[in-house]
Amino acid sequence: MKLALKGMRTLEMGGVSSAIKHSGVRRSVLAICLGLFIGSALLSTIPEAWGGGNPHHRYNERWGSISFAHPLGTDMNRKDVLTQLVFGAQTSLLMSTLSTFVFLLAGTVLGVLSGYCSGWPRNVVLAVFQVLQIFPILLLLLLSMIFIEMFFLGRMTNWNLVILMALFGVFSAPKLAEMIRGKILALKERTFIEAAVALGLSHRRIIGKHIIRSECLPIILVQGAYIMGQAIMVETTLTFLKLGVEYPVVSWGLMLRKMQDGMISWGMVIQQGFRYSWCWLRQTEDLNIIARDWNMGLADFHFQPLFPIMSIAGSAWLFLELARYFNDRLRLQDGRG
Amino acid sequence: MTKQPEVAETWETILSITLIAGRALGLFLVTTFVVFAALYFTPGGWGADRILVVGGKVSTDQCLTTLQEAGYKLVLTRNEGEAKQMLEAFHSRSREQETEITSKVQLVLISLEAVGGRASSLAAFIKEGNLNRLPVIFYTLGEVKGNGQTVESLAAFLHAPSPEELLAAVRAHLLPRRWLLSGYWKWLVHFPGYDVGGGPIAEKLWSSSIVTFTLVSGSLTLSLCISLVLVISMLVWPESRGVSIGFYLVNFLSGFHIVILSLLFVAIFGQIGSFSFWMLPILALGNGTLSDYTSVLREELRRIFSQEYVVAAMARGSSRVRHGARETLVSLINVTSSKIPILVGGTIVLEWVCSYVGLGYNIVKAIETQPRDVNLTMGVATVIVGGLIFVNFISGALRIYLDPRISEG
Repeated sequence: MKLALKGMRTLEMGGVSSAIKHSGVRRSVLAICLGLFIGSALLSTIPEAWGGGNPHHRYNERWGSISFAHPLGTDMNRKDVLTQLVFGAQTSLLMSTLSTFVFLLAGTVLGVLSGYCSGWPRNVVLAVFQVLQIFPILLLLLLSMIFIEMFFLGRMTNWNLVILMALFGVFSAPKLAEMIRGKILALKERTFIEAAVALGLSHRRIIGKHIIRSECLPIILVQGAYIMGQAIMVETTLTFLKLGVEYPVVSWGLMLRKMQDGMISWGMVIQQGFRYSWCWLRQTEDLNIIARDWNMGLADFHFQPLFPIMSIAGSAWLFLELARYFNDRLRLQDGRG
Repeated sequence: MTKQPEVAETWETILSITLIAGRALGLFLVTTFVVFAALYFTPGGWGADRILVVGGKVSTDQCLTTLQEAGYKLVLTRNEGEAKQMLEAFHSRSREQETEITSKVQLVLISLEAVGGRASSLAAFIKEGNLNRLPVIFYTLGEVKGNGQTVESLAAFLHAPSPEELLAAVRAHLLPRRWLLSGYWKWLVHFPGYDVGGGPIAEKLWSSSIVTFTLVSGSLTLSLCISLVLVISMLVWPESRGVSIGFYLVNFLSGFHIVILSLLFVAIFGQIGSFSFWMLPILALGNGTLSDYTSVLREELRRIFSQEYVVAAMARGSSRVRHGARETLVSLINVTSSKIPILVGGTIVLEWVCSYVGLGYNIVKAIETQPRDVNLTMGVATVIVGGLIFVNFISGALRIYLDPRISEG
């Protein structure tokens, strides 16, 4: 347990520390947001005005403002932002589920290998962990693009992201594996495992039932939720670096990349605004000229890029919070409160 | 009596540090070899063995003989019609056995004089066959006569080097076909080589590694300073509300990922493409360096100061900071060495978003560029991988030096 909690320290990155228990309001907000995210990923058949339909349909207005037909406006390609967000949620959820699945599988197997076994399998796995710790995961993913090209004699648009996300699961597996290993090493000393061995239970039964299912399941849940949020960020990053999906597929990272130009003028507006308020306080310059500049800046200002940013940050936060919630439950069950 | 164990301890320390150094070197060689092997087998990579030279006038003679002397296999022709025939044969073969051809040919050199006014048809030709996966260098030794528009349509991939430059470019871009191991040795000896344009990669690598080093070390220093100030003020004023607000702010801002933070940074300041101070806190917050430093320092200082020997030292009137410093330093080195890889991963994103040319920008550029510039990709990957392994070695050696109880082997 001690090792598991030591690993949990990384979870305390944002928000209030996990010593504060989740209240009912907090829990229901979490549930509603999760429902919204997963629900929106499943919505591709609802009416066109509310996010269904074709995400690539071009409407009349470029950078259109909020209206009933376009609740979040339209982007510079005259496409509806909400529809794209919904379809992007689908991609995000699919990819992050894939990498979480791979992560849990690889982490559990490697953890059991390095904790339960002895001899060369353990040594090999531990050596691989040590090597993986030296390099950042993003660099490993970038370099594995070369290997993908080697195997398929070229780059496959859109499908390389699937491979990269699975690889992300593998590369981040050591964290889970280390925790499971620590747990197993601690459990080996306990009497109930000794009793199970003495009773002649098979290794498979001891590992599967007595170690994984009864003791390691909380760790696996927490880490799974945590890596889900990380995977959303990684998917966005890879698509942003032009290594992920391309045009026909909709993704939040792709939306960000396309809308990047629309964000440049935010700084202009903010700077002009500061200047305006400063001069208004000091009464030094001709306010009309500055106000005119500010209005010109406002004409170039587009709020639409805010939505993909908010949805990416929000969904990553969501899974972080879910992991924290699982962690608190785990501590409460353990009587640590 | 007292001297004997000290000498033995020093020898042990030196021995274990040498062991880590050897392991780091081995890891470096293995990693670079793996990347090299992947680049060897990619289409247009080092495993490919032939160059196709089409066209060319008398003045290229010198260039060609030098190439042949250097051991390149050449297929060449002077005649325009023959060149066309050759390309057509090449084209049909590449349609039949796409994979074989693309993995065998390294580079296509086409003289614009040989092409004449039919530049656009040639471009279409190259696109139709699978030649667009290969690097094509167009060169000219005189003035290009022909339809201006069609030549302009080629201008995107048009280089017009002199024979010497052309030779340098070709020599830089290719190694003649070798077996994997000898090719790797050759690459290691001639590191880092030249890029497609014929320019030396070394300058590029040097300037960009300075950029990345500045970013990483700057953000580490900044987060160290901020966390030290926070933790020391927590020790001095344990009940202060301002300090706890500071901790809360650090934790809250660290919840945002580096992509989000750097995009917002670009949105507010615009594209800058050079160093800005605000990159450092963004890196420190976006990768969770700052929050990790604060939490580790807080817990370690609490733990160390409550240990018996520190309490005993305090009771004797000695400073507790002096006694706890070494242990704190060890845990700080642990955190730093585990955080540097993540920071380097963060610089990849930050440099790309801000289009600030460092190692991260260069490696993304090298990976996503098609056709691949093999030498550049290998060079940047080597520098990043080597730097990270070196940092790992240094931190391991420091750890052993500061805390002789840990033995690595």
